[in-house]
Amino acid sequence: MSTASRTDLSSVRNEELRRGWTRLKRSPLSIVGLVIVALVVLAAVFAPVLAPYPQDAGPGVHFDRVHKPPSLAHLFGTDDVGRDIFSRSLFGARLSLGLGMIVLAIGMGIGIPLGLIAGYWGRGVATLIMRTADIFLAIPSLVLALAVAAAFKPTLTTTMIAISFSWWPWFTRLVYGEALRIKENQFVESSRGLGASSWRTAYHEILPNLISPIIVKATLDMGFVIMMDASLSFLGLGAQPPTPAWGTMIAEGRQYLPTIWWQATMPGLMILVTVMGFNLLGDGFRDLLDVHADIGEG
Amino acid sequence: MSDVLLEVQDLNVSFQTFDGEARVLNGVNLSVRRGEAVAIVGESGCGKTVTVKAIMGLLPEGSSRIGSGRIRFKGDDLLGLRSSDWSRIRGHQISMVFQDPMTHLNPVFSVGDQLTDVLLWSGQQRVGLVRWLLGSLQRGKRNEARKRAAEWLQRVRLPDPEGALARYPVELSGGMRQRVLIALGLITEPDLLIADEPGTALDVSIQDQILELLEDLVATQGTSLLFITHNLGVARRISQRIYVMYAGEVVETGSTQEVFDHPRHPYTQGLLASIPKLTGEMGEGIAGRIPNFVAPPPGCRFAPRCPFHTDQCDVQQPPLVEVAPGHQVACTLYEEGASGQ
Amino acid sequence: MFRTFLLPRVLQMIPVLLGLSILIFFLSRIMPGDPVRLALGPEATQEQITQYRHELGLDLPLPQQYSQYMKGLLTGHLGHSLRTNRDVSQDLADSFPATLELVLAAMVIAVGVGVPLGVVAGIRKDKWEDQLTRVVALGGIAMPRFWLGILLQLLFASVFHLLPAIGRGDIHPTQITGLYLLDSLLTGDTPAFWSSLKSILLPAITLSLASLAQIMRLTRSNMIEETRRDYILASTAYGVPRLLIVAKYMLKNAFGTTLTTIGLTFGYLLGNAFLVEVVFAWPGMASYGVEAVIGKDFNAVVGVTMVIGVTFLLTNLLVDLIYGWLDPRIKYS
Repeated sequence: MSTASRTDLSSVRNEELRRGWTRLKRSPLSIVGLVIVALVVLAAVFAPVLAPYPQDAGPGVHFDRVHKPPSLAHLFGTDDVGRDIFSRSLFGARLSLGLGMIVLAIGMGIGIPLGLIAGYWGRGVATLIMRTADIFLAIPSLVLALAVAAAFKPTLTTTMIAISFSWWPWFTRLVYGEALRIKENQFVESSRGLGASSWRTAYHEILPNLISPIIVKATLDMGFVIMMDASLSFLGLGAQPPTPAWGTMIAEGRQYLPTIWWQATMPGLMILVTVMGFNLLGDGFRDLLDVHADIGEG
Repeated sequence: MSDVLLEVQDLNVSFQTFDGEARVLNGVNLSVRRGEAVAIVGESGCGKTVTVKAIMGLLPEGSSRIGSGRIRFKGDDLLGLRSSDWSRIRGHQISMVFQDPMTHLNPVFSVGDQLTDVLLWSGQQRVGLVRWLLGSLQRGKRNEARKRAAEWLQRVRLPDPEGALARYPVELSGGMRQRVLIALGLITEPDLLIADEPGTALDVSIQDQILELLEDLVATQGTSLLFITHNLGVARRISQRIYVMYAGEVVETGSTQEVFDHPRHPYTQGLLASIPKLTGEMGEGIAGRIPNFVAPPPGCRFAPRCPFHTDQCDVQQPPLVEVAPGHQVACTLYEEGASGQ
Repeated sequence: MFRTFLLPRVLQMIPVLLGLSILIFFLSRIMPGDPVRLALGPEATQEQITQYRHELGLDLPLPQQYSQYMKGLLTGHLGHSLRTNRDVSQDLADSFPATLELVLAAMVIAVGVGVPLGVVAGIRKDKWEDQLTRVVALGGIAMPRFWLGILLQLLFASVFHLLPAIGRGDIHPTQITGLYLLDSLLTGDTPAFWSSLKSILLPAITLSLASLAQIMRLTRSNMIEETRRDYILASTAYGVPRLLIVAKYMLKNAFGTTLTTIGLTFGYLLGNAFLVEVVFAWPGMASYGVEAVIGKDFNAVVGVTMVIGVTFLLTNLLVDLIYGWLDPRIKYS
């Protein structure tokens, strides 16, 4: 017990993974999350193939089948210009997932390096970075995203920039907090004692330890980013018609309530299921990887 | 023997772990008489704390299982008790002084609050929300309780007992907190007090004061004491009778004097030999570690570490046999046919 | 207390607010198109536009515009709104109470329902009560707020005609605080109270659900953590009845941790009010803000954002204070 060698550590790691897997297997909800996410990803990737009416993703008009209720021919019914809502929802998944991935990539690309720098190099830099992050966190993400969206023309790209803008500080905070914690670990101390440079330490010791919390956070955040994208486009600040974004579709369908109930409810159901899937999967990962870090929430 | 207060017979407790079922207690027998001070000694992890938790019905639900055995207290079978009946036992009949004064006091309530709550509510079978609210309105009763709480703080020799009532645990030193824990355990004037290594978290001189205090109070109250410790010196000082536990089994028992003067079990002998004269702390004198509880040695659990190990030891668990009046040992060396040491 | 606890926290807020104002101010000035042209309409001549820009100070360099703006801010002016032709501070004074009332009502629901449900789920871990709250929580967190609002409108207003779908009620009480429920109670105006209550119910429930779910899950895990504490075990050993332990000891400890997230919840509710107010045509600051964003009313955008930032920071300060009072450890650490 007194001297922990490399092999000991890796067997401890395997043991942790084995226990995590046992936990995961015992929670059927995580499996449900995994299945949902897999289905949504499949829907997004193969939307052009899977959609029964792929041409409906665009501005087409079919006067012969306006506002048809859900049926076998049109699983989710048709909208006010006769487009198949199911097909449009599949393309919506494509937009949402794509946007989510880009936003998270930008958020992490800015947030993680800043968090590492703040956590590892000195006080002045840390204060500057963390105070800046505080400014971005001083108002709710949605409000900040709205303010950013106001500065540009409402498009999909605008939504993307606006959400990324409000997202990076969460990653900075997570990484900063974890880096501080890990830095106090003796194990990093010892490699420092051997003369490893700060950057090497950050890269070899801190980053690997951050992978688990980041995976968990990114999975959970995917759901929240999709939700925020839908919110912005619902308010008319994101993708404009005829783009088949879920939020935009709900906003369009809203005026035909309550008689044409399906036009607004079906895309909402897609959001609900997708966000739930990512949440369940994220919680499953949290158990699997045994993450206790404060993940925060946007 | 009507003066037996507590009797534990053949107690088996197991815990569910990732590796399987860990048999943490394996047929433990022990008893405490009225007015008696009894000690359980053993290394940490030998099952001392599990034993007393089982007595108090405090084992975690779900992960632990009581396989067999009986715990009788004044004729009641504690293992068969329903949760509503426990309120009759805990507090007024059996109470406890806990080990770590840092974690066993509620950090967000004042010392006075915690003491008066025990005074006012301990032993109440059912507390309706209405009764609770009415109870907190009864000024007279509360003031009475506060007075008694202050008296108890005086008795555990806490400086400024009146002032201490309003203090929060963070404002008190470790030694003072331990005194509060003793007051909490004794304020209900229980027939049996279980003390789980009180003071071990504190430095030696304070630990000594705490022991003295506890000895004093137990003597004046006529309370029976079941004292758990890994410190042989402490056990010798405080108890009249002693149980030596190893890996979830009682390996030797007898009057404290007798066991210290004539230790029979190789484990007890090893323990006594390894005591540094000054501190009484148990050293690392015996080679090896406590065995795995999931797959324990088939016979005597001490066999793998025992210097007198024979093939006979691996066959079956040796029963407790009487070697002198009141002095029992579980070891093949003393079984019938085997010659004395 | 004041010097060691309150003062540093207040001082910390200043750079954050200053930074926020710079950030939002500059964002608002890079808006594409010409807000002035948009405001004056297509008929306006180039001369009129130049004249108006000059009046608004938009022809000055940006840093100078910012210092002008900050000067106005210190005297309580948030600039001229292009859309309403009034000072933004006036618009906000009119619309802020409606948002505050909505957010507070949602907060009351989230805490008032979320904490008790969380307690039940925590002490009945893995029993059916726990499973039920888990399902509610899952739906509550994953359901888009605006969509839930639409569904509730559909159900309670269009189908059952129980509650109004939009607006803030038809009978308004005499204004005192601007919070209708409070005002009608203060003046004893029963009809106004019922009208206000009925109209706030759907938006407040819509707004609260996700936070309710979060508070519920958090309270649950805190309660479970509390059951494992040594001091809870000790109280049991002293014979303190279970109900008292749960209702008094565990709840106070668990609620303390829940409380720390209430500041965050407040921000979350404030943010989502932007969606809920739009769906329910609630005449608050958030729907004013959305219109400002769409209409490129830059001063209004800055004003709304700043008010929300200040409200959010003040709430966090308040929560810190309550927490310090609730948990004596904070004061001494």
